[in-house]
Amino acid sequence: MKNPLPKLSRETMIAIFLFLFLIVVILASAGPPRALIYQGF
Amino acid sequence: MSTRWEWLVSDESAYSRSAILRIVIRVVVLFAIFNILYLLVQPLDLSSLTLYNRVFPGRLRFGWARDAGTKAPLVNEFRLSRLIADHVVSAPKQPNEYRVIFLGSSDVWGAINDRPEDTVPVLIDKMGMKTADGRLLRSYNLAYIYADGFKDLLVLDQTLRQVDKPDLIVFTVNSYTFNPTVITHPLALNNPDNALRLKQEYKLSGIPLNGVTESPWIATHNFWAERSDVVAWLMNQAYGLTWTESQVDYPQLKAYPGLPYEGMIGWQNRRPGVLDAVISLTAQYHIPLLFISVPVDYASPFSQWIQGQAQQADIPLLDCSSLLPPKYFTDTQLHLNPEGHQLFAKKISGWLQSWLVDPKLQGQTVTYCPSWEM
Repeated sequence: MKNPLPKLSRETMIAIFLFLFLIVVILASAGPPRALIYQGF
Repeated sequence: MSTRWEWLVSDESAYSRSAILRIVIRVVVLFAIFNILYLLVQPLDLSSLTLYNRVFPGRLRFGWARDAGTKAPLVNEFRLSRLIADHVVSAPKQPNEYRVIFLGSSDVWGAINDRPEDTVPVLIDKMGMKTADGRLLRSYNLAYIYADGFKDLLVLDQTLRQVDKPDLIVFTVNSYTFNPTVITHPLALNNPDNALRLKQEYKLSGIPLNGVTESPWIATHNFWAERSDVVAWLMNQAYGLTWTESQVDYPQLKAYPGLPYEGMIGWQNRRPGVLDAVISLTAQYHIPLLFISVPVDYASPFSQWIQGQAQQADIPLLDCSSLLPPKYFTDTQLHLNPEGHQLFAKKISGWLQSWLVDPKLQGQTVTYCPSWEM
C-alpha cells in the first residue's frame, strides 16, 4: 500500500526535529509555576 | 551502528555547510510560521481548547494553587479565559436549565475546604431546585481568592463574554469586597486588557491598577511572552486526570498560615464605582442581580453601606452576616467549614426559592438571616 503522506527529505525532518526542540526549550525557560500565596483576605 | 539509522549518516554530503544552512533556514521558516499562527489564533483565548467538560469533568471552582502547585493537584493559571474554559460553567447550557452564577471571595470559593462540592454554590446546585416554569436551577461557583469587587467585575465580564448566558447573578459580598487588603488583584495584573477596558468603560478612575500597563498588543500576546501561561495550560490539562479520579483540587493544611480576623474597626469604599459597574453590566445583559452578605461575626459600617446601596438600586439583599457562631468557621471568621457552608446554603436556597416565586419579595429589599446570638 502506498504511503499517503508526502515523503519528507532528510533535511526537512532534521529541521522539524530542531524546531520542536526549540519550542520545548522555550517552554522550559518559563520557569516554575507561579504562586499566589494567600496572606489574608 | 544499526542499519536502521544508517540513512542518517550514510550520505556525508548531507552535512556540508550548504546543507546545514538549508536546515537552519527551514527551522527559521517553521518558527516564523508557528509564531505568526500563534499571533493570529491566540490559542489561550480559545475556550474550546480544553479537555475539561469533554474528556474530564469541568472544574467546580476556579483552580487555585496556593504555593506554586508543589502539593496542589493543579498549577495557577491567571488568564480569565483559561480559568473559565476549564470550569463546568463552560459546558453548554441545557434547554431546561436555569443558570445561576455566584461571584465572591475565598469564603464562597471554599478556602480550607479541599472538596469543592462542600461549597455553597455547589451545595445549592445539588438541591434540585426548580423555577415556576419547571426549569432546573444549576448553580456555579465563580468566586476567587482575595476579596476585591473589581476582580468580581473582571470575572463577570469575561464569563458573560465566554459562556452561555446565565439567568441570575448572585454577588456575595463581605466587608473586604470593596475595602480589599490587596492593592491590585492578581487577576487584574494578569488580564491587563480586560482591566484597562473595564476601568475606562465604567469610568473607574479610583481603582488602583499598579503594574497594569498598556503595552503594544504584539509584545504581550506572542508565544515568548505567553510561554508560562502555555506551560500552565498544558500542565492543568494533564492534571485533569487527577481531578477526574479524586475530585479534590486543594490540599487542606492542618495549620493554615492565615491572619486571624479580629474585627474591622473602620471601613471605607476603596473600590468606588465598582458596585454600580456590576449593576450596569448585569442590566446590559438583562440578567437579574442579587446580593448576599456572607456570614461573619462582626459589626462593620459595611453592613449599613451595602444595605443602603441595595435599597437605592432596588436589588434584593440577603444579609447573613450574623448567621453562624464561631464554631462554623475555620482559620478566620470568614472561611466556613463544610457544616457552615451547608447551613449557609440552606438559608440561601430558601431565600432564592422565595425570590423565584416573587422577585419583589413582598417589597422587602433587605432580608435578614436569623442571628446566631438570638
